[in-house]
Amino acid sequence: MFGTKLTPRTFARSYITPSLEHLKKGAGLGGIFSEKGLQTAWFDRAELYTDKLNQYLRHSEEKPLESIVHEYARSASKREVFNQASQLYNLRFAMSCLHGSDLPAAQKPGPSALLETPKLELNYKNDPRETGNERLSSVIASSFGSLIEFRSLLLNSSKAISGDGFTWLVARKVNTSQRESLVSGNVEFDWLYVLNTYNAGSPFNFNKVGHISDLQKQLAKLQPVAEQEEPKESNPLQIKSIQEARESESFKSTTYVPLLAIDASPKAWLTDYGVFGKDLYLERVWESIEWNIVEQRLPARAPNYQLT
Amino acid sequence: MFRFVTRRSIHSVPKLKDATLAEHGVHNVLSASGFKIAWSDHQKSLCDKLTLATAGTSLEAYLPFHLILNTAKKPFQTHIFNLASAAHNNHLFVENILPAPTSTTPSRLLRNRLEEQHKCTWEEFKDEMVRRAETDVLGQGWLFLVENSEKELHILTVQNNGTPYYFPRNQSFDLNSALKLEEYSQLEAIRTLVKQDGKIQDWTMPLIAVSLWDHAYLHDYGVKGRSKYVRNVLDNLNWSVVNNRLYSGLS
Amino acid sequence: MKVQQNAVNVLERTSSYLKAGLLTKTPAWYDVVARVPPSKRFVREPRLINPANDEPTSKLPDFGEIYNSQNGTYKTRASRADKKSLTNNLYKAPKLKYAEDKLRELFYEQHPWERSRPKMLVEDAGTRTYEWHNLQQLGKPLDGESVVQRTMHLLKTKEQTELLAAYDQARFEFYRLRIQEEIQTQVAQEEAEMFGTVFGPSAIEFGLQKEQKIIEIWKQKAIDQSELVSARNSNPAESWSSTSTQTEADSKASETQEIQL
Repeated sequence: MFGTKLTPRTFARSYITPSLEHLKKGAGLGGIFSEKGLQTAWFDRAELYTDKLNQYLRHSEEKPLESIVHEYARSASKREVFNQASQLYNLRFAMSCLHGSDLPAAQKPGPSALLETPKLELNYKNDPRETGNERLSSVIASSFGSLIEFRSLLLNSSKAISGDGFTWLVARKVNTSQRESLVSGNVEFDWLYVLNTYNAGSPFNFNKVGHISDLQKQLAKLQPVAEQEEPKESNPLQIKSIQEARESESFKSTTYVPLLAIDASPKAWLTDYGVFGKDLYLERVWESIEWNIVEQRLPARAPNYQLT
Repeated sequence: MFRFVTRRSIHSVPKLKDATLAEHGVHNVLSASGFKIAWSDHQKSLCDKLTLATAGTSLEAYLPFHLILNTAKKPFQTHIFNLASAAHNNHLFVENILPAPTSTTPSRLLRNRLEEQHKCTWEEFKDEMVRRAETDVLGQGWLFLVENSEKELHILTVQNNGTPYYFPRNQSFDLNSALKLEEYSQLEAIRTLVKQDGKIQDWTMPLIAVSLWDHAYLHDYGVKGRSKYVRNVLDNLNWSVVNNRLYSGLS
Repeated sequence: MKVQQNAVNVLERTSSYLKAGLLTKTPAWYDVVARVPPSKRFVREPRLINPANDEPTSKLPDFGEIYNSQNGTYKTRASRADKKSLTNNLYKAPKLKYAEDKLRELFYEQHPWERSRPKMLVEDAGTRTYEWHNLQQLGKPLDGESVVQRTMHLLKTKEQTELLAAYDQARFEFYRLRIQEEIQTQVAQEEAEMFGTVFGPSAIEFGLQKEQKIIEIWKQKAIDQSELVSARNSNPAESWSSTSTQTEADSKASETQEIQL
């Protein structure tokens, strides 16, 4: 389960650093990471997060990372644990999608890369239609319009992240309790989406509705009664801001199945591509995505997806 | 024939007085190539992006500091705010790590203030700053020592490209994971303040700025070395710059 | 007729006046005119080449091929009328036609909302020359003009041979950059919110607040006024009379109120 194994230690149970078969120490990942780049982007970070996770979780029971992410997402007291577990999960997820390409190692671009005009090619290498992933590419085409639109949305979303974060391709779970498939445990989705998470944000905890409204209630309890009456006098024309509305109203019951993640953190690209190289890094990421793995993660599509 | 042509100003990397930096880096803190990434390249990319984002608009003639204050309230200009704030913070940061010609120490005024307000010496306070950087900032960010309008010294941690100058844009909270009730009530307090009246007075000034961005430390210290880097920076501050930033009552 | 040179000699004349002490104060325009003196060439020169398209303004066509079918003759040289119109062309200001103008017109016709972007009208700079091998330029906003210039560059460097193909390429590059820009603003905003940013009141909220303040004042005034009016119109003696007359009086009062209004 997500790179965690039970280790036969008597004194304490702890997480060990996850490993991925296709990533080997002392070697790079062709076309995307040099040896040093991969060390920074993957091995060092995985070790760091695992160490910290063990440090924070010293006495508690071992759980799979994914369930930590699910369970502790809304608990402030377990925040450190969640942060490390979620980062580790996200990073592992992102690295598992990358399988390298046969391109030569990249040169670090200079300041002129900022002004460079985007290429207008319409045919990219590593096209899921050509790698035999018919099912995935048809779903992408119906969700985003075309593969080109999907590519520019995905890469531009990642490019726009200024700090740490991940850009995800996710499938939205169908949420009808009557459906028989849910009883049998099968997951179905209707459309694909691209979304960003920042720092330790998780696609499983994308909407914070429950958390924020809990906090609101707790805060209201603490405040004296007199203060609570005040808002009623406030301007009746005052409507909720978009931010507030998003926190309290939207996407209440939406859950996503992650399919693909792209790491936007400078830790991933700074070593190999330099300060001006994020664009180049993202292009290389696209070339080295393993579409087979992405397709394997894709659940079945709900038969009535067009109605939603 | 004379030509009077004033060029449209574009943002350019501030020139540093010490020309040997590019060769030797900052002693004890950054190597030459680490300094190149943290300052020359990073600042160049920020300045160029800022120029691209503001050229031809009413913002084009502003300095980054003015851009921060001008765009802080406008959600649709966040990308400009981010760039301006990053450029400004990075300049503050580099200024206070540049080696001073003579070895310097915290001024007595600063030490007294710390003594009065935090009951600790600079050495103890430094430990606290390193700890705060470690616990508060998970990803990219900034560590500041700030002085507010009451002349109180505070540690301020900032996520990504927040600014110390305007508290609704401090970006001190990380909403990506769970919030503590205390933090949420602070956030709500800021929201009600902003809603009540648009004119928020915040006269906070940064004294010490430490970049927690990967650009600053990744090359020299690696992924795991951030705390060590923060300590190195705080051990090798240019105190003549920092002491000057502190309000002394003399103008 | 002698050429009148009074106007263009104003500088020399004023200088001698100053020297002679006829004028004590130097006129405000003096330095400016000295720096850019008026032209003294009065001879009209023929303009042999149209600067807009670098073609000769007046060149006699090759007549060898023009066949007149009516009388079965060939026209071999220019007639007097032909020559005259050509000489006229030599001195006329040539029509300036630029492909850029047409492209500009086409672009803004196709993208009317590009016009709605705020633009600096104050010129604080001279013209700068840019290298258009990139669409983006430092110090130049990305707009329709960039597309036009990029199109011309593509044509000049023979990257594209057709005008429309070059325009399309520049246009699609422009779209890509606009897409980037748009996603960037959205993501930056979302990211800032996730790190606890509180944006100030928007322009609409601010306007509403201001408006509401005025309305509150007006409301208080209106309440005071209507109380005053009803107090003036009600007869204090009638408050002790029966309820039926009371309602009558009320309706009367309301009538008079209406009349007053």
